[in-house]
Parts: sequence; structure tokens; C-alpha cells
Amino acid sequence: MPKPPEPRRPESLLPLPPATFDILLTLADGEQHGYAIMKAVADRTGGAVRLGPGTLYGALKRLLATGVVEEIDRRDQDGDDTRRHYRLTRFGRDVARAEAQRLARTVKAARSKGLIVPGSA
Amino acid sequence: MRAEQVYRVLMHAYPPGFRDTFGREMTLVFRDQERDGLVARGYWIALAIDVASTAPRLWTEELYDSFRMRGTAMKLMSVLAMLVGVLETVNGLIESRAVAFGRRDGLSQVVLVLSIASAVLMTFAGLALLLRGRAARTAGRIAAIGSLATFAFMAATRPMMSIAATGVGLAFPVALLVTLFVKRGPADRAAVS
Repeated sequence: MPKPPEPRRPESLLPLPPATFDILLTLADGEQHGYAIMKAVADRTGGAVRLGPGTLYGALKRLLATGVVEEIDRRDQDGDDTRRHYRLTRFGRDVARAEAQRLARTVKAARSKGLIVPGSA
Repeated sequence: MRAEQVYRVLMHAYPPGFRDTFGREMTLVFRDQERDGLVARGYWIALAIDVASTAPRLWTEELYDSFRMRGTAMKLMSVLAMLVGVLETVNGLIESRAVAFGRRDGLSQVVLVLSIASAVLMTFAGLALLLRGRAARTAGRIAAIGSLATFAFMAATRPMMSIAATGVGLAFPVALLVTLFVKRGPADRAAVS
């Protein structure tokens, strides 16, 4: 009898590439299509991070393959185009949370070494 | 050429499976960007950098995934075709250096160029066996037919090869063609993009 697949640990996917984490942060607010993700990332980072189509869809391809995000077909209200919308899975939310905690620990370490000056960000 | 056509040409830098899955979405993104006035001169530089930095990894992933998902016969044919193609290309190039110093007639030099062309086409046909998508399959068939036709022409105009070498040179592209025309199994169709 084949062994059931072992449950994956979110930590097994860490550390995430920065662009991938930006995508997960955007999807934490709810489902989005590709262009909405691009705009949200650019807005949140003040234009410092602008995802190109290859970066965005390359990352989404890997996130879909690992079960971090899932896609849903939804017809846009303002047109006839059916776009794919993406949303975080439960596992994906755990991965995003684990990455956020990892980054928080890194920031804490940087602060303890005086590398982050209060009010400089 | 319209901006969207330029964009579509650039998207051909990505592997066929990736384009099949996300090509339409990427085009819709471009139309949104155009509508929002984001397609300016700097846009194309940023896009070219994005394509150059992401396409190699996507090609590697697609080839790896396709190889993993293919049946044993398909894998074997693909690897053999690429191996024979590369070896024949190298052999042809080494010979062409010798031709440059020797006294070969024009026909011999044409035959040499054809043998290199045949080997390069065979390499492409082998690569196409691993790729997903109709375009890759069509390109593979054309490459295999081209390789076969080139080799047949070579063998007819200058029958200087051994029977064994001629047999392999003709039989291998035929075997490749058969493999390329055989309907792929579900595992092949489901190759991860």
C-alpha cells in the first residue's frame, strides 16, 4: 500500500524570493488578477518594486505548482475578458506567515546591531 | 509594427509551455499597461531586462519538467537525437577547418555544410521532443524532415559514406519523425508548464 504523502511544512519553501513574498502579501488581501497584483506591489512599495510580466507569471507558475496559490476563473464586470484570478491557499497563508516571521527575526537582529535607526525608514 | 506585436515577439523568448499557460494573461497585462499609459521608452528596456533575467530559468524548468514527465522511449529518442546532433555538428565543424586547408572541390564543401545543417536540425528535433505545445511539435517535425532531406540529398550527391553511416543517418531522422507523429500519452500532455 503506498504511503500517504507527508504534510508539507511551510518552512520548507523558505526563504522566498522578494518578488514572490510581495505577491503573497498582495494576495493576503484577497484574490487578484495579474495586473492588479503588479499595481498593488508598485503602490505598496512606492514604485520601488515593479514586477515585470516574466517575474510575475514565473513566480505564479511556481506558486501554483507548490500549492501556495490557486487560480479561479472570473469574468470581469467591465469587459468580456475572462481573466485568471489568483488567491492564497491555506497552505499559502501559512507560508506567507512563516516568511513574515523569518523576516521579522532578521529585522530584530539588524536592529540589535544598530543597523536600523529609528525614524529612518 | 504595433507595440503589441513587438511585445508578442518578445514573449517568444519564453518556453512554449509557459506561453501556452500564461501568454494570454501576459498580453492582457500589456493591454492594461498600454491603456494606463505605462508603455513608454523606459518600459521596453525594463521589459527586455525582465525577459532576459527570467526566460533562462523558465526554459530550464520546462525542460526539466518535460523530461521528468516523458515516457522512457521519448526520453531516449530525445537524448540520443541531441547527442548525435551535437557530436555530428562538432565533427562537421572540425572537418570544415580541415577543408579550409585542404584541396576539396566545391561539391565536397557543399556536402560538408549540408551535413552540419542536418546535424543542427537533428539537435533541434531532439529538443522539440521535450517541449510542450503545438508550435514546438511542428518545429520538431519540420526539423526532423529537414534533417532527413538534407542527409538524403547528401548521400545521393556524394555517396562516400559507409552503408552503416548512411543507414544510421537516414534511419535516425525517420525514427525521430515516427516518435514526433505518435500521439503522446496523458503523462506527456500533462507536463508541468
